[in-house]
Amino acid sequence: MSVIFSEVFLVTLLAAGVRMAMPILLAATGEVFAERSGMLNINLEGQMLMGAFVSFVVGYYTHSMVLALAAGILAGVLTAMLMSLACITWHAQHTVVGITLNMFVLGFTSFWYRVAFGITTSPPKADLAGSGTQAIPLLSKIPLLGPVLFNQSFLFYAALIIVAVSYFVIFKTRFGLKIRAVGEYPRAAETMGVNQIKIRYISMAICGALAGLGGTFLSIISLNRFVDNITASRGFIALAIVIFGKWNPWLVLCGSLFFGIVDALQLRLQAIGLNVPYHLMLMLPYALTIVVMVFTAGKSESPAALGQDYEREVL
Amino acid sequence: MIRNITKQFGDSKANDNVHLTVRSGEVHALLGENGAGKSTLMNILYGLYKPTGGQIVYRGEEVVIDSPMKALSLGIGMVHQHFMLIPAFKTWENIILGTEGDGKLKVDVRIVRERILTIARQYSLQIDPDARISTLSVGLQQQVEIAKALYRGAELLILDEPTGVLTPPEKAKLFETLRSYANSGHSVIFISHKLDEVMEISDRVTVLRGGKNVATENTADMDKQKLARLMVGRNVDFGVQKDSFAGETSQVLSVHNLVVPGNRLVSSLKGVSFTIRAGEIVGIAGVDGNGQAELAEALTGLRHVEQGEVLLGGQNIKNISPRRVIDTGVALIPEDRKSVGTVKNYTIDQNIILRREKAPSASRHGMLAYKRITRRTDEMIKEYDIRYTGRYLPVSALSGGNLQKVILAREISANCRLLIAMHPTRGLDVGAIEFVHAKLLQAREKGTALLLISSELEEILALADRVFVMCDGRFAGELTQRNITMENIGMLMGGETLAAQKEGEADA
Amino acid sequence: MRKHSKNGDVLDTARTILYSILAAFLVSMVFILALGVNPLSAFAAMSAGVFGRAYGLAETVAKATPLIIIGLGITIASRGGLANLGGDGQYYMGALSSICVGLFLPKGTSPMIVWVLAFMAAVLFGAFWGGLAGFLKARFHTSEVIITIMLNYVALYLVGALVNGALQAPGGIPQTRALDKAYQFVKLIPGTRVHAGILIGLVLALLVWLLFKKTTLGYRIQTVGESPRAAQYGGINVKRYEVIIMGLAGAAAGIAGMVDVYGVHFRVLEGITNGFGFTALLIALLARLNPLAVVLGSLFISALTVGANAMQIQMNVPTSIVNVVQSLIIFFMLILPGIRKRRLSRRKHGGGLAVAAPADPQTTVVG
Repeated sequence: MSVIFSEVFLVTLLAAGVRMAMPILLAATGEVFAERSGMLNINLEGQMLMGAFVSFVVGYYTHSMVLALAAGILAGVLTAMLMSLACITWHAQHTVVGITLNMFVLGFTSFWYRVAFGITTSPPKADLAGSGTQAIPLLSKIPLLGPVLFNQSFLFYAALIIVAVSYFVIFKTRFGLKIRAVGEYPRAAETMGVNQIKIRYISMAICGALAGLGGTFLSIISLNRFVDNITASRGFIALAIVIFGKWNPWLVLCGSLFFGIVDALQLRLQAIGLNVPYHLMLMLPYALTIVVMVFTAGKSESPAALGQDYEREVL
Repeated sequence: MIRNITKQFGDSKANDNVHLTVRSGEVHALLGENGAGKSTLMNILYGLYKPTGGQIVYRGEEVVIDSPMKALSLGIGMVHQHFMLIPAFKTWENIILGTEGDGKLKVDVRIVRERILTIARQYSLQIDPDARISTLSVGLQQQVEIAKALYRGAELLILDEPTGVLTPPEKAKLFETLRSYANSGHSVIFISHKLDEVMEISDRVTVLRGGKNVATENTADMDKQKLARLMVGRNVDFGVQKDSFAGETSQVLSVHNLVVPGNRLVSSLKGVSFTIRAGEIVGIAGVDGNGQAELAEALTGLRHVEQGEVLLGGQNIKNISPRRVIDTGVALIPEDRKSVGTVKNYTIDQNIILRREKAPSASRHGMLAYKRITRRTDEMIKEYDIRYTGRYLPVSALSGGNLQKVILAREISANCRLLIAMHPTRGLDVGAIEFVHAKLLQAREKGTALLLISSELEEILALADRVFVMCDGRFAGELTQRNITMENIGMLMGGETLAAQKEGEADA
Repeated sequence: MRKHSKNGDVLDTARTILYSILAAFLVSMVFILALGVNPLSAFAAMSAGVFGRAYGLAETVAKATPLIIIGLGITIASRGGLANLGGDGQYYMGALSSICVGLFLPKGTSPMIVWVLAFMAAVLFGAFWGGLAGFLKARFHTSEVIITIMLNYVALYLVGALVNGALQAPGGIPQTRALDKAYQFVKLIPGTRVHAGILIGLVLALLVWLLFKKTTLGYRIQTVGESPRAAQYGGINVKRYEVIIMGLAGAAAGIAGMVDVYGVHFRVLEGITNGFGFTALLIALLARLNPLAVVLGSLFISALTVGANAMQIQMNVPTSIVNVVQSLIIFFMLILPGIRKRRLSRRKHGGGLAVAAPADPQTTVVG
């Protein structure tokens, strides 16, 4: 047991936790935009998966981190646009469309992966330059905090900036006011001259971009490969974290880190050979999601028009 | 100025060649019954509806208003009947929503607050920029709505039935604001179906009936009777024929000291007592949101009662399940007939068995009895003259009046002992209103006890045998027979007490 | 009047489904073309794989069995307004509980008793797993979408832990012991995998059809789904019904697990369901929540799967094309009504605005 309390263990645990939080953090931050505008984007999982797949393929063939990132983001946006078209323009139900598109992305990625790489026993790796960690001079030397926070992938630093900017945009700008208004009461927003269709599309695009980026992190940075259903419902955990984080990017950051660390903990505990069946360890993040939902769902109030279709009566 | 506006929905014309000219500096009333086309016309002017034909001329130029954005940029502001405010937002957030900033990324709350307060002072509006809308009373919310338009620099302000939700003092305040606004050279279009108000506030009045212009007159040349004739198209008899209530029947409902917690900040019931006898209509008057909805829900088991006693024919019905309340003979005509009173995707048949699916008339041993349901529905369609386009189409295709008839048919025919009717005629046209009133009186004659909750004073005056005025979760006073007058109800709604009432208490 | 409008509806629905299937196949043809395979010969291989041999047809029926049963449960949930994405987890719970009955009852117990008890266990545990999501929703306002998905993983890893631990058969392979021959369902067609389970599926389809056609319980479930507020007003305890609805859905998926264990696998291991719950959800949507159509939908999707297997072997087209096709069918079904409505209103008004013609002037013209 004493191993658990050693500094080395703690540092590796926390550093791994931060890394494992990343995909969820990015996707959940995106989802905050979508849900604040009233879009119940159940398709988050699919947007992540699409991002993970496309960025991996592009990275594998071009060996360019920049192109891979751009492709991952674009893939997420395009998937989100499919959902937006169906739900905003054609007024289909958010949940059903989201689930259907998740299935579509699952099939799509699996199909093209087989086509591109065949069935292999050793999955190909992308091995992109820049997928390792970037230590920040000086700061990374701080004991404990240094290795945990300042020796991470560049995307981690980017994610922190994204969270800060997201908070600012949503709560401090006129644009954010519009997003929130559309998610609360689209008709009222419309009577004040807000184009709710445009706002919802933009919010979904932002969400798709961040979810795609989250998926990209998973495939080309974290795992360095792609496998079928690589996201393993992380998109749904992100949905839960958005609720837990009360639709606030900073709280979402806290929630994601918490989940990342728990996820890392179960891996670490397995690694040091704790005598608990390995499957029960794997269960932990999912079971934890349920517990967290039970304790927070009743207390956090969702945007009033979340998941509701809005059809303006302009004739 | 509006010229020859026509607006067609399907086959029916909501506006048929309507003209309206509004001068600067005047309060122009737009008078008409429900369904006369007032709101449609204003929604066209505000860019929410697209006219089928006709032109709008604003400040001498022909304009096309195709969105609220355009209307706002022209200086047209609108206060909607159902407020377009976001409850979770603060006042200043609601006010600046949709405005463009000064090029800065971040909203400068200090400047915004300053501007709002300046406007508030200018038109003596009572506004706290940092108050959350959900914590404000309806009257204060309306002031925010007005401030929203003024913040955008509106020079023509449209108010759609603005007084329905106000207490008399709040109404006086509103009129004062409108007057000072018009006096500064701006214009007001005041939509109403209430004659007193139109006489009081407007300079000129345009009357619409059935989507057509009837007249435009100087208000000073008119009186209530003349306006009423123009509005309805015939001589109006203010009142319904009914026998007076003898008052010697048995007590059906007895409520004692009812206390009910409310939602967050909405008012709750703070100790309400009353009784209703068989064949009696007890009216609950008052501005919406003073506990009427909570009262109806508490009596029907839909809301938990904290304290007090509710007896139906001597039997306790406090905090029993809604199902058992139904079974003991309590019928409810809910406020929201579209999403509570009926299921919009169900047919008339399926809606007729709502609340009664277990009754022998609908099922046996858990199996639905279609033949019986259809036969019963056929009878009701005949008796209540329900007009439909398709017998087996969803009721979403029915008009508001016919939808209400479906609910009435279901609730009244259930041999109920107590019938609670919430705003039973809201939004209906005259024909439907008369029908509903006749049916309610018919139920009264059969010995049903009725609780009529309404914010339409005319309705209460016409139907109720006794009236309680509700204010802030309490009864502000009780009016019987000769005391039931518009003035008395108005006084009580405004939180004042009655001299007559005090006398009465002294006698007792 | 009734006949006319209903026939019109049916025709409309049929047309939508047909167009959706066509569109989905067109898109998948593009996919197949991109592989350098002639889509027509690929489809030929596909249909030959299903219709060209008895095995194909039999396999289609066998594969459809669990989908039918789970799809029926999802039909109940969706009609009740709840999204049950937990079909897989509930299936695992049914499989797990029913195998325990078969493995731990004393040898020589009459098969009938084993089957009945196993069936009851599957119903109970499946209902518990589904009902749990309903209960948490009713009590704590959790989203059933998220909870059912999480419960899938909990069930999956529970099975994993058990087949690697307490229930592991001797020999080191992570699976349970096999059922006694006597307890395995009889084969309806010898030499194939078609077993008595399909009969259970058909009976259940009939029962669910009756539930919504004839019973007050079905009426209430549907009312909760159509409008919870109207249901509340109608005296229906909506919270209790959320538990009941999810419980019924879970019970169905649990039965599917039991049927698969007793009819096909005879043991439990990880991966006996591979997203059946999601496929069944798509089937329920394809069937427009009509219980009888769920049977047809399941056969159709299952034929696609069987055909795709043949196609993969002969043409080297990955089987995941099935996922693409089936999700695209549903996607097109979901958007077609919206597209049609938009086109109609454009033609009517000549404008470019998203509009819905109000069915009733009075609903929009409040005034």
